[in-house]
Amino acid sequence: MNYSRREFLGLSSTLLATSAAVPAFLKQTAFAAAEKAATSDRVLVVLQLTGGNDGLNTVVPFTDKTYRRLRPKLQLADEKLHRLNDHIGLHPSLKGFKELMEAGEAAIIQSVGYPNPNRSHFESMAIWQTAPSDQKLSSQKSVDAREGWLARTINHRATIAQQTASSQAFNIGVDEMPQALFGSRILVPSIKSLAQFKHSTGLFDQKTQQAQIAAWKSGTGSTSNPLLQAALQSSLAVHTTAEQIRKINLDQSTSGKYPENPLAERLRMVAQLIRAGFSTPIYYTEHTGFDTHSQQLNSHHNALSDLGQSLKAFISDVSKHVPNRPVLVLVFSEFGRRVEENASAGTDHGTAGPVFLVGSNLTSGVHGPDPDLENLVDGDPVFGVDFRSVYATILEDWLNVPSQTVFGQKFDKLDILKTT
Amino acid sequence: MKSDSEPWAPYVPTPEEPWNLEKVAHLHRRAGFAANWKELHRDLKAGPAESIDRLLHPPPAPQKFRRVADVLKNIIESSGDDFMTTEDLSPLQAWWLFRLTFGSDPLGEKLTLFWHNHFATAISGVFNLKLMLDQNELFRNHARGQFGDLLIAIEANPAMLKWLNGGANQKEHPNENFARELLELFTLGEGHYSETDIREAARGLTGWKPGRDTELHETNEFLYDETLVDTSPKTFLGQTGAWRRNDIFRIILQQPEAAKYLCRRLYRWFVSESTIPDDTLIEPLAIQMRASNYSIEHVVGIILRSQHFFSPAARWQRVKSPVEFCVGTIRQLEPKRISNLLPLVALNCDQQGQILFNPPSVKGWEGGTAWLNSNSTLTRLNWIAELLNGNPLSGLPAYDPTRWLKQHSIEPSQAVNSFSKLLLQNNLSPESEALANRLAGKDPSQLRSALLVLLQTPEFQLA
Repeated sequence: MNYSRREFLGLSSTLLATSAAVPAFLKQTAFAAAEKAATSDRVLVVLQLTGGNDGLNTVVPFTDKTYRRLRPKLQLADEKLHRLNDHIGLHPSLKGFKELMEAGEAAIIQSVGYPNPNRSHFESMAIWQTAPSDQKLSSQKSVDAREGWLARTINHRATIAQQTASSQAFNIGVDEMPQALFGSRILVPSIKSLAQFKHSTGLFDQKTQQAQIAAWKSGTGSTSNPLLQAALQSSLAVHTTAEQIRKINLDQSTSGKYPENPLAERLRMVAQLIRAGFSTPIYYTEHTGFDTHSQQLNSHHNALSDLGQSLKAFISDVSKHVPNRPVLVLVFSEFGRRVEENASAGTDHGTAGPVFLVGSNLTSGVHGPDPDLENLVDGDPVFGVDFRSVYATILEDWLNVPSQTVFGQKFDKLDILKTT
Repeated sequence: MKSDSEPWAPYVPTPEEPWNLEKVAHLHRRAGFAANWKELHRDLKAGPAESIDRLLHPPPAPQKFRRVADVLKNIIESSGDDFMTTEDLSPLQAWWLFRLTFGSDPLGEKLTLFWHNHFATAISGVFNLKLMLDQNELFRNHARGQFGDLLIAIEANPAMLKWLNGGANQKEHPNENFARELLELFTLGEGHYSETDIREAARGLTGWKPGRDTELHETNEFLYDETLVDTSPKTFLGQTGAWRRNDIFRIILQQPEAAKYLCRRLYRWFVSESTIPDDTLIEPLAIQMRASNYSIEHVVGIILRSQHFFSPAARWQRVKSPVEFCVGTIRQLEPKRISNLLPLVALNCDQQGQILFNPPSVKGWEGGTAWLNSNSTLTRLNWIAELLNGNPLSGLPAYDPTRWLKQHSIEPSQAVNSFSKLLLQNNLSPESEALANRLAGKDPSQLRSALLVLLQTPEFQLA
């Protein structure tokens, strides 16, 4: 909700705060379990750059002649770049990210993609989010119905009982559930704001709520209607999560300086949940504004600036306040953009691009081969690292999940995460 | 029964599948935004044929409705060329919600929403209320018409030209944005065209340029300039010629897949989100679609009249979208019409994730179980509470159930049963109904508690 409309309607959060009590019978479930769980468990934050990030103007090959030739308007002046070595440098607005690299807390993996690249936002995003096996990837069928790679990871890591007891993942700040989380046995909650959960007005008193939930279950427990099952699940998830979040002290958890932008708000929320003691290992969120078909210099600058600053703030928050919960952030986009700029001072959909890993337990620096702009296929560079190799590295070296069971085939790992 | 062999044969009431309250309510939830008590009983008496005919051929809107709608519309038109964002949407949303909630053509509005979702265009890329309003009226005017006419109109629509860079699609440097979505989302679906087809279509769709004011700034108009059209030969979907925009649309609609794709979208919108229909269901509709030169009214009429539409394969097989949920509850409960009721509905739809005039992407809203994410569910929960218990700060008074009972001459002892009929046609677990009955009493606040139980049931989240 934006401020001007709230004013317009005369709403006030103080009124929303007059909420009904949250049932005590839920106290023995999620939050209690979360508190007892080993708090040294690792956390994975997946950050999706939605729209297709222009990788070549993010990690810039400033000595490359093809880059200079095909980008007359959009090429970035090399003296402004944050140089990483003698031929590539980071976009000028990525100061925060450069500082993370200098502190040994960030790594770049170049040229990440997959065979037979799909240039549709939705299809390519679905491929990244579902990580199908080679066989399924080449079948050319729509990937709409497939389970997400994180959902499969959750199903492998946790039993139904564990998934019921505490959330294995949260979708943060966004309405739509990413396909990466579709298919877990228990619905993953979406949290747009913590205040909204804390001040819910629609809940009954404990006794009535117990009767209500029992009635729902007896009515829908045996239904063959999948939508009715989903509606029941969602209602249960909301009641449980509301109880968990009610216990978070928002005022105490808002320390730490974050810039003012939607991504920073989302990452702050992730930090609040980790600091509040949730055992949840996976968080998913997104950063939008990367579909830069026209006049991209300004908008791309702003999007990257928000990205670098927000990540920097988030990493210093969690490493200061929850040093016992190592955090790894995976930053990806559904594709890079065409090497040659278009007539509108923008770029069209491309293929492989850089992926970023951020956190304290990794081998910093630049990994993977730089994009080969001399040998383009359909105007785009060929991928050098399969994105499923990146996922496999994270699953095995960070979350301790055998990747072959998740992907249905073996992918080579990268030597990036410290496995100590 | 020939339900399996001819699913689209007209529904005729039988002793096993009688015309009852559940079917009347089902028809109105799908073809419109839920029926109120009076409409339910009117159509229960009228029977299926007359009820469906009224939806397909609605009576003209009363003068008073048209006057209010015009006043609301004038407010938006007076905003002119101003730069606008999502923060400025409230008047535009209130205008549409007024039509959705109180209009006399629910099916027309349901189809307008269908097209808004199909050709999903957002203020976040258009930045002007008037352009969004004009596009919405375009959808309304073409809602039941020929799909080919709609395609031609939407491609030339300024909001769409702005949204998908149609004005930047130049002969020398084609911009593929519109061409790609045209094939992937608007007409054929993934897998039925190649990357080359996208590039060739983009070339065929050249010719548009943005208007310029005296200081050479781009205006909100677009001009079609013959000299800008790429007239060289193109090979598009297997056909070679110097194709231009109307040829591109003609060739697309010649593809059998175009009719099937559109029928699948209509099926999901009107019939079921819980299963992907197989070809035995879609093919007969697609044949009708092509035979009628892509008449939407013809195919929607077949769907609404059919056995399949009234069968268990369709009933309760959709999730209410936030707009369906909020508009529906207001239509059903008939609360006092206070002046900021509709802006409040707009705000709540926004919070539940359906910002009218600002869909999340050109793909529109995901729909189905995506509307059951925790954020939407929680916001919905709070909205129900606010609608029932009121909110002095927003000016919303508490709902008075006894007023509704009096209005429809219902005995207080029949309150829960009647509300259950109105909202769920008694399609809820006996335990939920028992709980509602236990909480109910003579006092309006007790009745509100009972209503809260009914509106929060998992069953009520479905359409």
